[in-house]
Amino acid sequence: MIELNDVRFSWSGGEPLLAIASLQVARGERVFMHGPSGSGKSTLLGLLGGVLEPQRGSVRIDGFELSAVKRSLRDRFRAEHIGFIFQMFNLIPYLSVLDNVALPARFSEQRRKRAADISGSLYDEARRLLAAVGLDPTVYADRQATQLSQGQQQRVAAARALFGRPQLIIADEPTSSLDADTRERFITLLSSECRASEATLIFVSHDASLRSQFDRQIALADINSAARLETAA
Amino acid sequence: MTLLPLAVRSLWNRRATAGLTILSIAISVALLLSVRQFSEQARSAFASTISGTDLIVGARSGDINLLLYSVFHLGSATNNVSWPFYERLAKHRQVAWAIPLSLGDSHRGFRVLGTNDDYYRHYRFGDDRKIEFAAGRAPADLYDAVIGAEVARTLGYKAGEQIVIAHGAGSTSFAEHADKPFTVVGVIAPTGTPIDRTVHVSLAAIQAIHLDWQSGMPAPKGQRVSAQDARQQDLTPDSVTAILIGLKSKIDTFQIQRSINEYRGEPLLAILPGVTLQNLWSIVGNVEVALLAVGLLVTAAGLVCLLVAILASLNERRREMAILRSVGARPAHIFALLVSEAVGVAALGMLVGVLCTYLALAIARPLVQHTYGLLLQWPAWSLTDLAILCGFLTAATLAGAIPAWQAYRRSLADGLTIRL
Repeated sequence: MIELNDVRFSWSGGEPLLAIASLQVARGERVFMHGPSGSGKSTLLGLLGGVLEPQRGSVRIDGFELSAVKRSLRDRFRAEHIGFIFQMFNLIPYLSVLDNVALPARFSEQRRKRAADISGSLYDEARRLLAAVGLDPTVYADRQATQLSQGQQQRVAAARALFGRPQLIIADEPTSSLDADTRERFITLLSSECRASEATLIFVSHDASLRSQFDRQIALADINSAARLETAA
Repeated sequence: MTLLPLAVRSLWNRRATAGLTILSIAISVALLLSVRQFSEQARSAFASTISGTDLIVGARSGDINLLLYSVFHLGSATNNVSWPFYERLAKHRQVAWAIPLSLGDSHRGFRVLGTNDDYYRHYRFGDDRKIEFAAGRAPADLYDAVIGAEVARTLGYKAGEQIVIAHGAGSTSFAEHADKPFTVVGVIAPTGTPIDRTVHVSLAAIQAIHLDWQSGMPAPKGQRVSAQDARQQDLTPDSVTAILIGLKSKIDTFQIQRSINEYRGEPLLAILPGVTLQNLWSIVGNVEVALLAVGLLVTAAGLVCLLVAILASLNERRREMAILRSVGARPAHIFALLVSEAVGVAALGMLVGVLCTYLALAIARPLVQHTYGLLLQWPAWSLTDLAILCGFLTAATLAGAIPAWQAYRRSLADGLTIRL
């Protein structure tokens, strides 16, 4: 599913930030990626999302060579195949909860079609996902995103990431703004929903205590040789 | 078009700021359009101060000066036209009518015009409108006076009022023709021309009140001529200030003008009122240009308002842009979203501005008509107005492209990182 080979990245000719000789993630695998802040997590996610372009090496997702195509194609690929969940403030404040969940449909033809195939209509699929993440659509669908609590907002973000069944879900510290109790429940929910939609999950956190819930864990420091290269030089 | 609903909801979310921006744009657009309408209408009102008159004849001076004192009753003549010349002109075979005008006296700041019945019969202004009476009739008796609408309104005069004419044109003249009072017998309906500010009497009356005056001073007590005695005297004037001429055939205009200008008997000047009005407007018209410049500057300020509002919102919307990017929006989408918001605000502002112009006109119309007798026209949108509006929208698009470009660049650099 994800295949990184000999990838190097640095900001505009500076010191290399990321140097990954090899990284493989299988389809449907749920991976916990662990690393302290500043270890290159955001950069790696940028590369996976096709927002950043490596100076060297190849980034393949689902057989698609991200690092070899133009930016607009990478943007399109991201829209079609990847769902993102961020640390906090994931929602567009001026859209309703339902519109936030269905937002990917505005930019991706495939996800729009798939969502409609699953539930009949875009909004029915959005309601189904809301219910799946534990938010009663009859109560929350028409609320403004800003009226929800942090935990609820993260769950809406998860529903949006899953909308239209993208093959890859990338979650960047999605639980760091939640308390311990909600955190557990959120991860369980996300894992089971990913399993249900057969999506690969990359879950990034600096909190190593969460790793037990995942198929596999990767410490970024182990695969990123940039720091070692630096000291060697 | 998947972005339009987003733009609409985003604007609605910031409706307070957006509303104020729309308001400021509406005000600036309304100002610009009103200035345009005002100067268009002022120009046409100005041009219609006098119509139907083919030539104005006065003593030789400047053509604008002659127009100013004969039509606008501003300033004074340096010299007069002799009565025999007026009589020759009035009888001339190519002349349809000749209206003598005698100016120089005033009543409480309003000019007094001595003329004859031809004035009420032949004088035209605006779109071939003739003088009509709101009350009363034209003067018949020697001491009858007819007043313009503004004179009647300002001084509160009605038919039957007794008035005294002052010597000279100042508003506070100490030399008054107090011994020969006049009776107001008519009030002229509002015309929107200098007629409204004029007191009309007969030519003979002007002659009568000056019978016993010598070099601008009343005669000593013993030599005075009473109002009744004046009626017995020959009241044919020696001269008039200016003559308005209507010709039987317009084709003769230039020929008559030339022969008057070349007349050897006395130094005279004949002008074409239309041409001289235009010359005068080209001087007055600078005000129009200045007003238009002010209007354009205010409109530019409105656009700057728009720009500031969007730029100020960019930082707080950085997160929103990153979210949109993460769900698949391309930088071009971000650019289009911001530009369409700017254009939406500008277009709404423009629409409100146009409505405000109509509203202002609807309010001003009855007031102006009542007060100045000027019928304001509904805006006749010219190509210029259309060009202005299109230009404004283009400028708004360009202005919106500045923050949009910034957001575009930023969303490339920020990627999916949400910066606080």
